[in-house]
Amino acid sequence: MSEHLLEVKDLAVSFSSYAGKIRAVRGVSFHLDAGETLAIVGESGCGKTVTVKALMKLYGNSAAFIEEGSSILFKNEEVVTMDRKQLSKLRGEGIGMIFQDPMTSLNPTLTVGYQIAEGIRFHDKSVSKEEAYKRAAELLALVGIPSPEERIKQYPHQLSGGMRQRVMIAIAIACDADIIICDEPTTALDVTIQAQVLELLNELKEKTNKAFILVTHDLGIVFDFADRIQVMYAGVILERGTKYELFDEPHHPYTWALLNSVPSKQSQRKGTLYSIQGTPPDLMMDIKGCPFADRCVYCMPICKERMPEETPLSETHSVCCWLEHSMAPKVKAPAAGGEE
Amino acid sequence: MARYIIKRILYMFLVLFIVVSTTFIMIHSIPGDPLTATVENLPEATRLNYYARYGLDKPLMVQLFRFWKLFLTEGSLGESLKYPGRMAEEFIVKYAPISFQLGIWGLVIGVSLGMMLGINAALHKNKLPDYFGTFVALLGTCIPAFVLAALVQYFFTVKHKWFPTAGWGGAIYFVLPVLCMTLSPVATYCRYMKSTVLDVINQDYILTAESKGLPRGLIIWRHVLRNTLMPIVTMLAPSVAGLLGGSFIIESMFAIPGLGTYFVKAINSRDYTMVVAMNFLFTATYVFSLLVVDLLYLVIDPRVRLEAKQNRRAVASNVPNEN
Repeated sequence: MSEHLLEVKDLAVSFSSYAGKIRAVRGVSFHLDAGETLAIVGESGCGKTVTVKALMKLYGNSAAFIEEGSSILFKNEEVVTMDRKQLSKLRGEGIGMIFQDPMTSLNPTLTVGYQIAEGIRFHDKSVSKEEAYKRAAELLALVGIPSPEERIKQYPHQLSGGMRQRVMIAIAIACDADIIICDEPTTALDVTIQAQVLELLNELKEKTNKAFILVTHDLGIVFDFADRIQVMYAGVILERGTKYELFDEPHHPYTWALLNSVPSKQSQRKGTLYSIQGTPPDLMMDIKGCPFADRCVYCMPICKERMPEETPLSETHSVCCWLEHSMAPKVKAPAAGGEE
Repeated sequence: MARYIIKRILYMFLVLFIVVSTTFIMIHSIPGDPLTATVENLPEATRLNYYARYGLDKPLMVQLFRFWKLFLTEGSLGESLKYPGRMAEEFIVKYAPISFQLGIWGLVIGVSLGMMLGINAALHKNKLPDYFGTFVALLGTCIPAFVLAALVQYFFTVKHKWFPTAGWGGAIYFVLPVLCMTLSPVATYCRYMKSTVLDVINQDYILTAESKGLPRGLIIWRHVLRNTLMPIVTMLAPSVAGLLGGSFIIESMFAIPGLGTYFVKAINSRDYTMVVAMNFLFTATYVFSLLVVDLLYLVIDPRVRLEAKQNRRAVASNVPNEN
């Protein structure tokens, strides 16, 4: 029994391919409570999106599958073993999702109103067509789209990118899901629209008691939006903590590097932007030690041999790094802003 | 919207006019004419009379003008040169319905069957239905209709005597020819539908639909099929024309009194009127199916619908400026 809204234990997701098994997510555990926002950050291909899609077993046509031994408890129900019917209920009613690219995430041949209303009507068969469309219009008003009664009759190509993302948000919250997953919700938008969409998401957060999971590689939006952050790399979580803990006293060299890679005034003045050397490991391979070891400036012999245990630093903050070991040299985090 | 439709219809007539006129000029430019054999040994004066009777003594442009004049005033396509006294449209009215029936049945059954096989193949990729679809598509592409016709004739009529070998009468005569006609569209549309469905199914909006919790059947019906219709509908017009052309071979194999025999005979005997008349019919069928396809776009794709509306608005706003 879990007291959390969502509890993920040892989640591992792989893709089967001709060349072999790609182990995209290699055992992650985390939890989420109602009303809080969790951010998952990491660079491209580190398994962020695969992790959150696994929460509703949403793999479309791809060859992904959840490995044995994984457990996802949503309201104390096991998601991994759910059949189609239970999944149908979970998707939409339990967990809603906002996707990265609003330009391609809406069906071009159906009206916006239909696309919002169809979920409502499917999950609550007692709702009539008119009521569903009325609710769709209310939702559009809620996400800040002017003259919603006319908009519901329009097609996606008649809306701008920002508006489409608002429609996507309306679809995600249409059935009153407990958890809203935002998979890089602002990546495909330009900066001013990004700010508006974030503001809208923040508003929703305050108005409702929904839990949010934000997947992003944009550390800028994380601090404004999230309560807790976990840093993912090559399918594992390297460090987790509240946003203050992670931004003020990061402990993992990868977190340091990530924070240093954010453009700042100093780095602008110097004209160079810090970037992490090397590339992430091949996910088809077995990784014996710490996956970041090859790119880590502080790499020790043990790092390549064994994966470090998770070391708790406070009730909320923990890190997987050999530098935390009592025998490791004491290393100080480089100051942010790329002043190495 | 009305403007869009009217524009399409006008284009249709323009294309019809150009194609028929070009054919008219081309067939008349081929050396030799239909009367040579008949009039070879006749005295000069009689021969000239013959040519004058069909208007073949006039310059080509005059003949073309007369052809259109006759068609527009009397709705006639002219007298056949091979069958004196019979008008070309008589043949069309009498035999075209048979060819069309054959073609339309072949197309309707072939396209629906092909689409079903294709969808099934795409939804069960790398499984039995997929291999079956690929197999059928390959067979359909490789085996010409006349080979299949010979095979089914042997199997169903000679060996098992389930169907009549050839001829024309009730529905029973219909089965084998239509079966042979469907093979090619089944193959084409199976292959095409499979790749289109696979394309659509990997689109982001299908994932969105799944994230709403919709069941698979509803997603396929509402989100996948609708988006696959556009490319399929685009292919329909050429298919209609292609099937009519293809039915000629089947007609001759099954001794069906369709237009096919007359078309071949007309070309061989340089029966100008008949060739032009048949060509008229096929061009008309083709451009008409293109028109239907254009109209279907309006129904299927909201983006085309909107474009049509905006065109009208743009034109409407231009009018006051010109005044």
